[in-house]
Amino acid sequence: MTPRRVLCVPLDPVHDVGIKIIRNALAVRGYTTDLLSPDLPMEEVVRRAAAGGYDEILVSRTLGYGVAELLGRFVDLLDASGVREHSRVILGGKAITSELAAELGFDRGFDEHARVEDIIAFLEGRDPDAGTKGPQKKKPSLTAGYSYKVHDARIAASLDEIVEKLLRWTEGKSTPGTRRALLRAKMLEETSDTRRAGLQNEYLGLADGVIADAFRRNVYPKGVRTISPEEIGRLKEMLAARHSFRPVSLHHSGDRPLVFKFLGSGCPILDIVHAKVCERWGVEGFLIINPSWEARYEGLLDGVLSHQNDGTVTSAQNIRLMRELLDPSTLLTVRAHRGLNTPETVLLAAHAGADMTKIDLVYGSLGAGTDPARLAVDGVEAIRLAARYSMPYDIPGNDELSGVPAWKTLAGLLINVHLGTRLGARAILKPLFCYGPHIVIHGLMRQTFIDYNAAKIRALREIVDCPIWPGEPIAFMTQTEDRVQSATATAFHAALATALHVDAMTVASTDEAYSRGPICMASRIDSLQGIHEASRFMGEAGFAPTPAADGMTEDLHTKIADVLDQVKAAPDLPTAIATGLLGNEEDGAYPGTFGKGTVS
Amino acid sequence: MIIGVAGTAKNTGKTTALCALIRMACANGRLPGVTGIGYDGEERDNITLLPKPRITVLPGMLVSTSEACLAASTARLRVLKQTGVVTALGRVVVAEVEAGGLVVVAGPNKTSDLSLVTREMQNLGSTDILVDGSLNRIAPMSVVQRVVFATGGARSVHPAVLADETAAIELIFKSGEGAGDYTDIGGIRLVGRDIQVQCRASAFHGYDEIAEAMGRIPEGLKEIVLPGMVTADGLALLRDRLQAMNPEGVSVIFDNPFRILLSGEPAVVGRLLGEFSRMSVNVRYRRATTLAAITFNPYYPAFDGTSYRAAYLESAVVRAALAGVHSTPVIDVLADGAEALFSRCFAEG
Repeated sequence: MTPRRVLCVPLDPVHDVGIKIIRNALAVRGYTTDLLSPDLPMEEVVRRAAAGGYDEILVSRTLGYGVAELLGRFVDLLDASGVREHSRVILGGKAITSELAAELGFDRGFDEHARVEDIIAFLEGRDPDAGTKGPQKKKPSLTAGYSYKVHDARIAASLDEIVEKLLRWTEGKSTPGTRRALLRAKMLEETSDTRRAGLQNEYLGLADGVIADAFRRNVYPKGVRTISPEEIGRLKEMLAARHSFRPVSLHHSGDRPLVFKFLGSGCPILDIVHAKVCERWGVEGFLIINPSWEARYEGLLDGVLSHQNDGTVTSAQNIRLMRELLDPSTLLTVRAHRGLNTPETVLLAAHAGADMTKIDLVYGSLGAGTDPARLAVDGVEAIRLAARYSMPYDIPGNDELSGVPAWKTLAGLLINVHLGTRLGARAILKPLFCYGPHIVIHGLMRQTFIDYNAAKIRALREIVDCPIWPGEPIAFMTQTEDRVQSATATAFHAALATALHVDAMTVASTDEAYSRGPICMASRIDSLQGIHEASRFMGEAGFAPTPAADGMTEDLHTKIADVLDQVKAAPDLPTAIATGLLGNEEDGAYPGTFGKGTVS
Repeated sequence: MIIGVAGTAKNTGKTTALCALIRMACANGRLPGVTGIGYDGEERDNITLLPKPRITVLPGMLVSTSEACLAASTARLRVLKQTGVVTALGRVVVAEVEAGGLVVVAGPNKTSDLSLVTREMQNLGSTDILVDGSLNRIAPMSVVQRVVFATGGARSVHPAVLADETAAIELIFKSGEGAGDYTDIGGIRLVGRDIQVQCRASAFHGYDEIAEAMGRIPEGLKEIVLPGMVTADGLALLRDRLQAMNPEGVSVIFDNPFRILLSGEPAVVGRLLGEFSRMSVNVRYRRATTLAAITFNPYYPAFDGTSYRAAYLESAVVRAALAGVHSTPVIDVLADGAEALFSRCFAEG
């Protein structure tokens, strides 16, 4: 387009920094610009505007007492002088809104959060968000570019043997979970209602009574109800009616680490509304967290369901609804490794359009209550399904929160990664950025939170070429009820994650440490604001761990190798877990019992 | 008839007067069209956050507003026409009220656009159109034939100041139509006995421009046409230069009274025009507007340094201060009712 003539007017006693920045940007783009000094009488400004033949007049002014009338008079003078017949008049400054700009007679208003690009886009008649929203925004991949090669030969040998033993041990074994997954797959493909009903009967024969009651009699577990099509319709209407605004980016430079948040209020509608707000605040992915009771039952519920307690039911329909209403570029992860439905959850998540899943054979057996043998069989099948559907899976090291030392937890993560690589799936390591019990007891973070967290990342990178996603959430056990403290703790840990160039991070809301129930929207935004500020503060600068971090890295690396040697020596992985090689009772880890005796 | 409701400041009761006129017009069998030059009808003030009066419309009325305001209105509106005018809140449409309710009005915000939109509304059947003002903005009101000026505690808490200002406003509007036959919005023109002097084309007439023009006075000066925006110091210079000659019978023609009102503080501008009259200079407007009434609103938002609260002037004191200085009726709409306001605005002739 033809470069335009722009008059920049700081209609303000002093301030002209913002408009100078805009003027410089316009000059770079070939605009002819004139900048007035900030203390000119209004009539003189109008005289120059009338004489200059400008296409655009940009006015900056902070709103204050009596300023509205002053700006109104200014617009009137331009109108009466004929300037508005050929010039648009645009107002920018603190507290300026579109409504206020309209009230004052300006053609457009920009507040202090507007970007220079927004203003230029308006001048040029373009959509300022073109290229940043909707289908044009590309869905990121967390696993692309990683080789999964194990660099440490001793560890590679151990992992090979552990995985081969596990696969041999699981060969020919099945559980109600793996058999239900097979039936679910057939049900999904079946076109005949009669045959599907037959398959469903067979499925319910392998499910607990609670699940069968829901299918057969529409009687749901306590606190669960179906969500009506009208309710879903109203949600969609509301989302369609909301005016979207330009999303905040949580990355000041680059595009990593991706920021994930949990969803699991129990109500998928509440989850979606929270997720839509979080998307606009820069969140790039969500993890659906299911109710704890879902882990204890054989079988999964069907339908769009609300649960009046913690955890959102991971039915295929709930996942599908979330997927449908999230931005296409937003990643959605479904937790599968807890309880008795691991392979089936992966299958349904894949069919419902989820992008990733969550499987950890070790943590699922130690911190999350499932019998090690049961989860070994279910987990191997789940990872096979993840490979078939090209769904990466993350491996949370949350057993550290029970008191398991980091090296044992990290050894467990590596086993899961290697198993995935062997089965053709792509895994993501999730070491904790936390102030876990073992760390507290042994004073590993007495001096700084940086060294030990950095050491975990360094040790894992020395061992394997694999994506790393600290969780879960970062800053776990450093946060308190104080919202400012909590947001700050999250922001510092996020800055550390950024400086360590990890691939993603899961962040908490500021009330997550104490809400004991659904968290509130404001507290979600608290931590995102904190991360945004931390990212801006850090830019491409880094943290400098103390020399102690080198020793911690070496210690972790060595101890991980030692643990894997011990596991390798065990008859099989379930036995290794059951006998405490990856976390024992003294550590606070107890082998789970859900599904005990169900492997056949 | 196009009737405007302008104000001397924000919160002087423009919307209250507008709503009263809508009610009275509808009660008298007229369905006025409604538009506005700013943004009005919202629940709370954009700056003070205090509650605002809402604009209620009845079925059959036409409303011109920006598209973004349609969804914010509770009245059911059917868009009849896109006007091609765009504001900060989107494209301005003319809509018919199908079911009565509240409307948020954000219409055209400059003179030429208001002229276009009111023509569209007339073409679509609105015989009477009410134009809601915004803050202290008045320039686009030059399109209207009659105007109500709203003032009150939000403009000044001193009744004497309100009296002086409204007296000056009345004086400014009192001058009649001019005979100027110019059609452009070019520069200052000086008409002499034999020749006309046309100055540089600019619709801004400040001190320098008027000084330049007055340096080229033709023989037998009869008329000075100032079609644009005249500043207060320019007006003062014009007075001084005319004083230095024998100006008796010379006509000074401005475009419209709103442009003169914009020249500076009304009291100052009013005094200057008074001096023109005393020199027997005829002040005329190319487009005159009748000042139909002055309304006053005792309410004002009082600022305590952090937030605003509602406060009120003593109505009787304000009324007493204003009563002696006007021939134009002064009305407190909430206290006096709207009959007088309606009859002043809608009277034939």
